Amino acid sequence: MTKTITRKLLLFEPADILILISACFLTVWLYSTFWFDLSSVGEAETLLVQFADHSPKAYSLSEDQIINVKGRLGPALIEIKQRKARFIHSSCRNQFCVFHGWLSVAGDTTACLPNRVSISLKGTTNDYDAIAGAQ
Amino acid sequence: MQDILIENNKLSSNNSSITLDFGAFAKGVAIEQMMTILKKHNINNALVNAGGDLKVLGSKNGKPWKIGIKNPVGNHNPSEPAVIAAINLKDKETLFTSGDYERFFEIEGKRYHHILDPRTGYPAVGTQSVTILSEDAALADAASTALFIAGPDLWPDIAKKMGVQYVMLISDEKIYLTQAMAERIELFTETKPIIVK
Repeated sequence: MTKTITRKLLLFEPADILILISACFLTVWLYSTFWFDLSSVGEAETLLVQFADHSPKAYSLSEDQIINVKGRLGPALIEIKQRKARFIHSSCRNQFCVFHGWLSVAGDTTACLPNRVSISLKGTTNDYDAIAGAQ
Repeated sequence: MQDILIENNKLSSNNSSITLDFGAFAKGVAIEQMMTILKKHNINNALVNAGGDLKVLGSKNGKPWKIGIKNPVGNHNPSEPAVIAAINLKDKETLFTSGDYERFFEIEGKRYHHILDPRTGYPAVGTQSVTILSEDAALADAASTALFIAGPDLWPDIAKKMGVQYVMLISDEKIYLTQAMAERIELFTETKPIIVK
């Protein structure tokens, strides 16, 4: 059996094998470039929390927790639950950040400008560059 | 409005309880000014996202910017997809959305949101969201608010008057698209869109 396969492989010239390998790579590239469905992108993995121009801190979405961030006006509370994140309290007047509700898709972001705290979701690959929507 | 004095391009009032909210277009004007600053510093590829309203410059590593559009009911209904559509944006394009699903309160099952109809003084009814694609952020911002108030019957006329070609309006589970928008957008819903020419 092994001998038969070896004999068959020997029938290929090195150039044939090169073409076969190239075809495999081309198939993978064509699939990832043209066949990948936009609707399946956007799965979020990490929450980034940033205060003013400080470096953002990353939190895994796999662990439900409440994060307390010290903002310019006072504390902000951010909840991670079931791989989603939201502001549940902010020391700002209008509470637009709290009204925004859950962020669930990679690329989604919201900010509390008065308190200088922003949160955004990041994924691994093929994310949206941003999520458009009303606020 | 009678308590507001407009004189020499300035607004004033003697009524201390009056507040003015420029939310219908100020964000669009601000984004255009940010773009001017970026260009002044020779930044040719950028995405400015002002809480879901955004504008792009150039490209992302040679590819168009990939934007998801939030589902108006996705945030408050976990069984619905969070993103209802996607669109690729090219250099200088901007996407603005007005909706009733972020800033509102409910009393006895009725939703009171933040976009007021000047004809009634009450929150505009009949529309869940309007998304506008344009190259002018201030125009897109103003148009998304105006078309939201215009509602499913009147929006095509207002869109023509304001000179906006790319519109998506969602109302009572119906999706209305201009022909130009239908050619650009990818919808993730089984609802068949109504194309308005």
